[in-house]
Parts: sequence; C-alpha cells; structure tokens
Amino acid sequence: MDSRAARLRVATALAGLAAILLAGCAPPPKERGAVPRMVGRDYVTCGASQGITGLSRPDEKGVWRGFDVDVCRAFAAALLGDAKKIRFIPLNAAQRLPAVQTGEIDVLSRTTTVTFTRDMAIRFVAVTQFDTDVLIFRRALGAATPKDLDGRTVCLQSGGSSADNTLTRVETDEKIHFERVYFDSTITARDAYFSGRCDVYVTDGFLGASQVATVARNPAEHTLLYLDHLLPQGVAISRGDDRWFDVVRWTVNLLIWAEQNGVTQANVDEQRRSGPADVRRVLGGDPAFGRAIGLDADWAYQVIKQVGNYGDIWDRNLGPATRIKADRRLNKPYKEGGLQFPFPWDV
Amino acid sequence: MTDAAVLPPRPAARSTRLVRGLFGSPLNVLLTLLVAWAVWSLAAPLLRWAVFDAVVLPANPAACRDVSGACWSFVAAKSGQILFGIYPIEERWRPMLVCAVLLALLGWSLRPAAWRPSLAIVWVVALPGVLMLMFGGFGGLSFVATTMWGGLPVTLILTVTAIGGAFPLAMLLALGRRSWLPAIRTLCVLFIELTRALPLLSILFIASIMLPLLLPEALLPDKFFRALIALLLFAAAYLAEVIRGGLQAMPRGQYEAAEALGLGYWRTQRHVILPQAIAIVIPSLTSTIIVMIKNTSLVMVVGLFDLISSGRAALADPEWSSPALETYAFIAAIYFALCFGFGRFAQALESRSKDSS
Amino acid sequence: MTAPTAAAPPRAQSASRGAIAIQSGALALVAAALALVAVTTASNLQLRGIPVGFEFLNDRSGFKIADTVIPFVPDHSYLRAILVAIANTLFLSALVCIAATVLGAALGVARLSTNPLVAALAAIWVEAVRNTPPLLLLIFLYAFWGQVMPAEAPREVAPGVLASIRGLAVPKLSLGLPPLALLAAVALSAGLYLTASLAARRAARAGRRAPYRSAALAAIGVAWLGAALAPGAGFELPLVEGDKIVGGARLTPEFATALFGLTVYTAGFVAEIVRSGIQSVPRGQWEAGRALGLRERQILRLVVAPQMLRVIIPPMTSQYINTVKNSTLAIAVGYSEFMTVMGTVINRTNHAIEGTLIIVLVYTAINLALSGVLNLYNRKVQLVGRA
Repeated sequence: MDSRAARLRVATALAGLAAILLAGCAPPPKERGAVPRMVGRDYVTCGASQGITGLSRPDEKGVWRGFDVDVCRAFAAALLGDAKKIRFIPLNAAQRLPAVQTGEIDVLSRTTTVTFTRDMAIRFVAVTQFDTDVLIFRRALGAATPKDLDGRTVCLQSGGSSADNTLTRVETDEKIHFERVYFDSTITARDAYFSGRCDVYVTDGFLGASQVATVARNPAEHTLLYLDHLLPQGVAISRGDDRWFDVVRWTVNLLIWAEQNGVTQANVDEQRRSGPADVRRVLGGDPAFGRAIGLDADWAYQVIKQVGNYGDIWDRNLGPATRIKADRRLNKPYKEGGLQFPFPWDV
Repeated sequence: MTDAAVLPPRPAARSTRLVRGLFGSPLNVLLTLLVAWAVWSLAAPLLRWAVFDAVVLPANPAACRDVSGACWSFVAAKSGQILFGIYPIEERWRPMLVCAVLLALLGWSLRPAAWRPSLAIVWVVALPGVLMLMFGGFGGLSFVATTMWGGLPVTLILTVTAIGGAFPLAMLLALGRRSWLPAIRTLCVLFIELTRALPLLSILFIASIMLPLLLPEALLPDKFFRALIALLLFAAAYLAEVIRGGLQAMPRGQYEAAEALGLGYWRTQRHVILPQAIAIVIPSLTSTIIVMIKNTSLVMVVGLFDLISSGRAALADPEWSSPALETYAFIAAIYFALCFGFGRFAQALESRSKDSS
Repeated sequence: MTAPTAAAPPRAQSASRGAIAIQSGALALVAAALALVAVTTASNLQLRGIPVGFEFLNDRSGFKIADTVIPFVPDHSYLRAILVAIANTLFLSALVCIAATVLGAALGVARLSTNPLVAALAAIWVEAVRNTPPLLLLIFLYAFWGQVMPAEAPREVAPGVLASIRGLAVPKLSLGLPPLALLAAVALSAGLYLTASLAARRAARAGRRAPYRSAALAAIGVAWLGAALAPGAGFELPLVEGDKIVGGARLTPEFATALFGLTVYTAGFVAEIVRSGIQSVPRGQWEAGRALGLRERQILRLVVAPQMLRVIIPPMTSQYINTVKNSTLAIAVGYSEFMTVMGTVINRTNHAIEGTLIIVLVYTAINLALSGVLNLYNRKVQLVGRA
C-alpha cells in the first residue's frame, strides 16, 4: 500500500515535469497578424451569411454571389493578386462576432452594423453599405405607418440583431407593442413570415428587399416600410492588426474612389494606360503606393480589373438589371446626394 | 395495464392468433376498432396528399401550380442540389462517386464474410481516397474546399469517419475506465462523463467557434474537420459506456483463464475479452450507432451544408411554391434508409451469433 | 487494497515499472495538451485584445426573450437572462419527460399487445422515431404546422382546443391563486405525502399496517378539488373573438412543436425501455403469484412491478438526461431554450469564452443533479427489489 502510494507520487511528479518540458516546447508565437497567415496559405477566409441573394449566397453552381461576397473578393485580389483565392464561411448572427474574434475568419463581410460595443470586441474597418431597418408586412393589412401595426406579431432573427433594438425603439416612440417571435437565422424568420406565422417581418433593409424580391411567391403582396434609423454596415477584422486593417480599409476606399473617378471594370485597362495622372498613379503608376501598404504595385488595378468598382459590384448584385432592383438610396456617391465618399490618396 | 397486454401470447396457429388478437375479447374488439378508425382518419389524407393528388413529373414549377397534393416534382428537379449542396456543378460526379463508393463499401463490409483484417486495410485506403477525391487539387481535378461540400457526401463522410474512428477510441476508453492504473482510470472517467454531460450541440459550438482561440494555428483543422472530430469524440464517449457494460458482464473466469494461458494484458483483451464483451452488447451498440448517425444532422446548426441545410437552400427558390414538407420527407427517407438498414443488419447479426452459440 | 469490483481484472501488474511509465506518459500528454491550450489561449486573448471577466453578467441585457416561464424584460441583467433560459430549458424538458413517460409506457405495452393492429402501429411509431433525426422531426413538424393550420381564424382541432398558425390555445385550469401561493400549495401537498409515507414505512417496520398514505392522498385530493371548485376557479375555455383568441392557456407554435416533437421522439425510446422491462419478468412469476393465491393486481404491484422497475430505471435515467440535452434542438424551431439565449448573450457581450464556460457548467450541473436524484431513486428501487 505504502509503496504503491509512493510510486503514484513518483509518477505524478514525473508527469508534471514532462508536462512543463512539453509546454516549454510549445511553438512560440510566430509572426503575428492575418497577412502573413493569408499569404502563407494563399487564400483569404471571409465570413458570409447563410444565403441572401444579392448579398451573399452560393448559386446553383456553387459559386458565391453577392455584394458582400464581391467586397471580400476585392481583398483577395488586393492581397494575393487573385480574387478567386478566397473561401467563404457561412455564419449565423450569433456566430459571426466570435468567428472574427477567434480568428476563424480573416474578415467579416456580412451585413453587420457598426456599433460601439461591437467595435470594442472586433475591429470595424470601413462602412460598405448604409442601410436602415425595414418592416415588411402584407399589403392586405393596409398599414401606412408603424403605429398601424400596434399589437401585431413580428418575426425576427434572435442573437441581438439591430432589428430587435430598432423594434424596441419604435415601440417606445410610438407607444405601441409588438409580439415578437425569434428565430435562429434570418432564413427561418423569413420562412415563418412568408408562411403566415407573423404579420410583420423586420430585418435589414437591403436584406429584406432581396428576400421579398427573390423568395416571396408574389412580391407585390408585401409592403416594405423603411425606418429612418441609420445602420452603417461594415467589414470587420480582429483587433490589433494594423497591417490587415490597412489593406481592408484602403481596398474599400479604392472601390468607392474608382466609381467616383470614372474607373470601371470595363475601362480600367484604358485608364491605366491613358487616364488622368492621379488615376494612373493609383492604378500602379506610382510604386510608392504599393510599397507603403506592402502590396504589389498593381494591386489597385487587379482589384478593379477582377472585381470592379463599388458601382460595378452594386449593379451586378443589387442593381436594376437584377431581380432585386434595390434603390441605392444613401449609397450613392456624395455628389449625387449619397453618403459614399472616398478618402484622398494623397494631398 | 391488463394481463393480456403484459403477457406474451401463448403459442397458437397463426391465423387463429390473428383473429383472436383482433376480436378475441371485448377489449381487443374495442382496440381494433379504435386503431382502425385512427389509422383511417390519418392515413387517408396522408395517402391522398402523398400519392393520389401528388405530382412527380414533369420536374418544373408549372407542374405544381394547381396541385393539392405533394409536389414531388420539386424533389425531382432539385435532387442534385439537395444531395450534393453547393459543390461545383461540373464536378458533381466526384461527390456522386464518393457516395457510391461509401455506400458500396458499407454494404460490403457489413457482411460477416468480409470481416478479415484486410477489411481494415480497405477502409484505411478508401477513406483518404474518398477525401482526396472530394478535395481534388491533383491530376487535373480542381480543388474544392470543405466549405463547398454539402449534402449526402457530408452526411456519409461524417457518419463513417466519426463512428469508425470512435470505435477503437471507445474500446480504449472502456478498457481505461476499468483499468487498475488510477491515473488512466481518472482521465478516462473525466473524459467520458464530461462529454456525456454536454449536449452535442454545445460541443459542436465549442468546436466550431471556440477552438480557434484554444489551439495554435498549426494544429487547427478547418471547420468541417473540427465538426468531424467533435462528432467522433462525442460518439466515442457513448460507445465506451456501452462497451464497458459488456466488459462488466464478463465473468472473472475469463480473465483467469487467459492469465493461466499466459496471455498478456493486450492479448487477453484483444482475443478473449473484447470480442465476447462486444458480442454481448450488440443491441445497445446498434442503437447508440443509430443515434450517432442521426446526430450528424446537427452540424447544420454550426453552418455546415448537410442534407437539411442544402434542402433549405433549395427551398429558397421563388419559382417553386416552397414545398418544405416534401423536401424534409425526402431527407427523412434518406436518414431512415441509412438507420433502418443498419438496424436490420445488426439484428440479423445478433440472431446469427445467438444461433451459432 | 480496495475491495475488488464484480469482475475486476487481476491487478498483479499494478506495481510494475511499466504501469508507472504508462501513467506518467498519459498524464504528461494530457498535462502538456492542457498547457498548450492554456498558453495559446492566453496569447490569443492578449493578441486580439479580448477582455475576460464575468462583470458583464450584471449589466443590463437590453434584449427580449419570447415565451419565458419567468418574466423577463430588457432592463433585466444578463445573469437573469441566463437563469430565465435555464428555466425555459428545464420547463420544456420536464414536460417532455412527463408526457413521454406516460405515452411511452402506453406504447411499450401496446407493442406487446396481443392485438396485432395495436402492436403494429406501436412498432411503426417506434421504428419511425428511432430512425429519423429529432432535428429533422422538429423542422418537419414546424413546417407542417405552418402549412396545415389556418392562417386567419383559429380552428377547433379538439374539444376546447383552438389552433391557428399563430399558436395553440387549450383550456386553462385556474385556481384563482397567485403563482407563489400555488407553488406553496404544491410544496405543502408534496410535504404532506412524504411525511405520510415515512410514517407508513415506520409503521410497517413495526409490523402494523397503517393507511397513512391513502389518508394523505385523500386529504390532498379533497383540498385541491375544493380549490378547483371554489368561486373564481375552474376551467377557462379559449374563445375566438374576431380573429384573436381570448382566454385559455396559450402555447406558441414554437413551444408546441418543440414539446410535441420531443415527446413523440422520446416516447419511442421510452416504449422500448418499458417493453424490455416487461419482457424481463418471466411468465413464471405470474404463475407463482397465482399459486400463492395473490390477486392479479397484487401480483403486478408486489411481484412484477418491482422487478420491472429494476430493469427500467437505469435506462430511463439516461433517457431523461438525454431529453434535457435534446431540448437544445428546439433552437431550430425558434423556442428560446438555453443554447439559443446563450448565443444571443455571447453575440451581444462578445464574451465567448465566459459564455462557453457557463454553457459547460450549466449542462454539467443539470446532468449531475439529475443523475444524482435518479440514482438515489434507483438505489431505493434496487434495494426494495432484492429485499
């Protein structure tokens, strides 16, 4: 008995020692940050939604299509020179922030509203879309203002969505009350509304417009009542990564700048050859631009060539030629009364 | 609870037994009428919906427009998308081949005649082969990341690999839990009990969301394999408890006999104890494995495209009138075939081993 | 030396060097893995600037939870949200356990019925739920509800039960008592019965037969009946007014689907357990009982049931624990069970690590508590059986 106990103690001590040694051998933190990681494995991982036509959804051939997805492709084109070097990971609302925090995804581009509390946990880099919430309900209800919807049942996504907060604000402002029914994703919430479970469905504006336009059996049956509470939707990365922050921020800026300076996917070759001097500088004429951000000199050209500018991306996924025909509203260039404006490249 | 219901029937001619069973006593007459009424009132509308008023072909949206029954046309038209998810369409032959290979191998290896050591080698070769085919990226095959895998191949790969991998681990855990080495025993008990305390959903949640924070990147598998490992560990904990039940039922004499023959620990376990212990628990092993097959459906919740989520994705097509019940029934039929087939096979195996002993 | 267990393998080698080497190796491996995880986590947390701490639990939650057992408003704290979610999970699980036990027992008996129609129907039920994923069952039922139930005016699907796509309304037994008084009344009744059965046992040990138990049951019954018949109490039927339902107890489709689906599923497993329990008692026991001159009811109560329970209780224990775990699937049909709410809490607070820790702790605690209670009961049954 005694000898057994003694042997056990020896075993434990040995084990402890070995553990300390092994833990000491644990790989030391390597070069930190997302950029070396992405360059090393030669692709970018991007957090997408679980399937919203026009924003992010794999088509029948398995190719991801949508505005948010194309914005992500621009990052791959900028960093790796190839917009195809990207993998999309579908996430629901509850998974998206942890996925950024833990480094599972390099960048989140999935209709996520920029807020103070979220920005303290992850790092928002740029606003890609200005949106507002929308109340969707059947035309037959005959409602014209939120007040007319008092006491109605509302389907929405759980997981602390901005729609939930907006609804509470509407309740307080109008002194009305909604019955809420929560679902684990916008897709189940949407299906519940279409099946008649709720009178009203509340969600982000463009997302709702897309769902009505592409999933409703008869889109004309539904009324979309946009609320006026602004939701700036941004792309986000994990905190403490300046290098990747630079790439993401200035790629988004490039998309907006290109549209407002007449550089499109169609004319980018011509612009690079014979455009105005400042345009040519950005598109690779000034190697200092690439050097400063740590990218190839022609990174901006590759982005526009492979993905297009902000307007190209919009038109391809949400524009008049698509089924969604979303009104750009606040996302027009500032000269046309919108909120989108580029930061200058140089003084 | 009546006497008649609790007691097994006395042996009698089949037809007399049938008649007596249906109409033998006032209670049985009442039950027969009640059940017949219930079946009729449920089955009639079901049959009308699923068969008589249903439409199967042509497989286009127009076919379902004025149909009051089931719209199987949708399943016919979308079967590719439901079965193979968002895997690139021009490469779809690869998941098809993978499913065919896995199903054929499963069927083949379930026959006791195939149980030779070579079987293990076949699987050890086949599984990486199947994965390589899914991945591609060699010999002119384009690379397809796991984020694009979906539908039936995902369900099959998860099932086969998770349960196949869990089995040997479960044996080790079961032996470890009954080991005379206190440290080994404690570790096994801790692992088994903690895993069994948690719902699979929370384990999948930890694997898909938390693991990237806990492990260095070099050791971190992608989301698909994280879910796979979570399923494997979960299955191992449950299978280990089933196998332990078998080990506990082994008479002491078996150990002593093996010791008398001079067999060491591992040879005793491998040749004497485990084969008998596992034979004892085949019924509960079967039901545990069936539960684990069904559990693969939970990966949907952490965002993998299994059968349910690819079915849901197919349903989002506005051209169709969203025939959700038909789609889910189709998926349920696939799971049912997998689980029921396996259960039947295990039953046959059990009665065989009973006959031979 | 510890007492040898039933079939413990010989321990002759336990003192060998090999044993020490194996154990040290295993411990070292596990310790190293844990150390690696700890080091990586710490550095990841620091690198990504993720703060860790449980202070957030007292912060205002700011979100709503539909369908709660305990009242909850956005001004309540996250801690309260978590407690509310646990209560929801336990509420759903408890109802499923009770309903599935009753239904499953009936099904198990039905499977052994001499009536082939009854046996076949029960067999189909059991095979159907054993071979389809419960998640799919719930999703299917939810879709079914949406397609079958009327979208506008509620329909009476059973006497006193109204259903529409918006939910289910059933008659409500109201006693005119506030919830706390009701809870106290339930506790009082349970206490009375327990005291009576303790007294009865003491009397039995002393060789007397005392009808304490029946007396207590009768008293409790009369008291509750009286309360139910008192003015202001009684069944409240749901009624249709316009396109709304007034009165009655209302269930949301999400809760109803989760409850119904999980019950149907669990009942299939309970049925198998009950069936094997019944089959475990040999026919000879009945015959022996008759030979002793016992009546059928006495044989069932004194001879058969104790033996059956001995077989049934352990697998039922794990079935009940499984039910708590399966209740997480209600996430797919929109019922706010624990995992759903934890997802929201993590999403709002960004405290994923703490949230995960809470998830693990809560389920482990529920599991331990449940298996502890059930094991206690099991021990009692096993002793009674062998006495």
